[in-house]
Amino acid sequence: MRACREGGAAIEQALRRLDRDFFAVLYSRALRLLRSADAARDLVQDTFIKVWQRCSTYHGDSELLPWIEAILRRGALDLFRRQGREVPLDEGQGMNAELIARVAELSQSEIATPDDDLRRAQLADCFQRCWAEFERAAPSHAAVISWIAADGLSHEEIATLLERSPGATREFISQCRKRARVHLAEWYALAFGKDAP
Amino acid sequence: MNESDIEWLDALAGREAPESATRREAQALRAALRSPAPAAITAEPPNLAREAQLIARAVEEKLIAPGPPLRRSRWLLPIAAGVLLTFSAGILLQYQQQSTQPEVVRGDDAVVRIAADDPAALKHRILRELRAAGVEATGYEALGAYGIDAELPLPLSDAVKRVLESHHIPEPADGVLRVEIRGRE
Repeated sequence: MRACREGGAAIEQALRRLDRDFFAVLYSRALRLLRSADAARDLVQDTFIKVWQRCSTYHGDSELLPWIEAILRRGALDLFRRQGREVPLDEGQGMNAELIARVAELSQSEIATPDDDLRRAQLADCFQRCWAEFERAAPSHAAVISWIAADGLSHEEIATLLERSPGATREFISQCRKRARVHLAEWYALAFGKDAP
Repeated sequence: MNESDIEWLDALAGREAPESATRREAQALRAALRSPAPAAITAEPPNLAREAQLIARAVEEKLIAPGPPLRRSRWLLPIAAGVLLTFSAGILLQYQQQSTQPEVVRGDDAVVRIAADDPAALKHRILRELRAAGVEATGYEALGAYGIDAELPLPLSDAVKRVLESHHIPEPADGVLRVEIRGRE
């Protein structure tokens, strides 16, 4: 990062170092989000360029990888927005209100602990299937939920990531929860030990 | 976003939240998302072609630029001008004598920099010779600079040594060869 600020010939060497140190980890994250090798490679390269463009904003008081990863995440969200992949919650989801209420009702009971491998595998399969559907229908919302679970993001951190006002962020988080309830309804029912709604 | 959504966010993020249906809903989702733990990512060997693409992109974006100007003082400029005038004739003569031979300099950043009359032709020639010597070399071009990246199998074969020697390129100790060729200024 020092080379970035100072400029000159050291930049090229530093860019190579950036690629060697961080490509693998960022590519795996990007691939998981975009599910396309080419798109993931492009996103990582865009991220490295943005790292260079924004290096003056890195103060060195936080770890480098999370700072770079936040840039990658913003890039992914921009991509989702540009592609217009979000499916509005109400379109083709006539059962939404019912599903949301059903998940709320189900979670009144204690989550059942899977008592055998078969049930654990069944739950995991169901979750993967529902989650994949969620990612296809609402990639931004699914991505933000996964980042909250992985890194414990706060409301303020989510607002920074989304580049939205606190009010708009609150609305987005609320939408995340609603969408999760709709797309994961089958898994919630299985996880809480009831029949699917 | 109501109180319940705030509880949901806190529980999903792994923060303390009061026992409730909302917490259970979020905790179930958190557990499912975090299981199994993601596989550890291992560092991968350098991919010179990919790095070359990144450098080319950085040049396109005008990120690679000369370093900051040196701090000048009032007395430094006249002295530098005097020194320049004194030696300019000699330097010019020397330059004219050597202008047909590429000048090779190995920088501190392990990049071998060559100034040549026809950088594109020299790049193609070195690439061709390296490949003929069994080296997978990658060439690139960005804003007037021509580059070659290659990972030389160690120990260096005689054929590779001959190619390097013929162009006055020092043998890289780590086997990573990076050459940048520019036209003479």
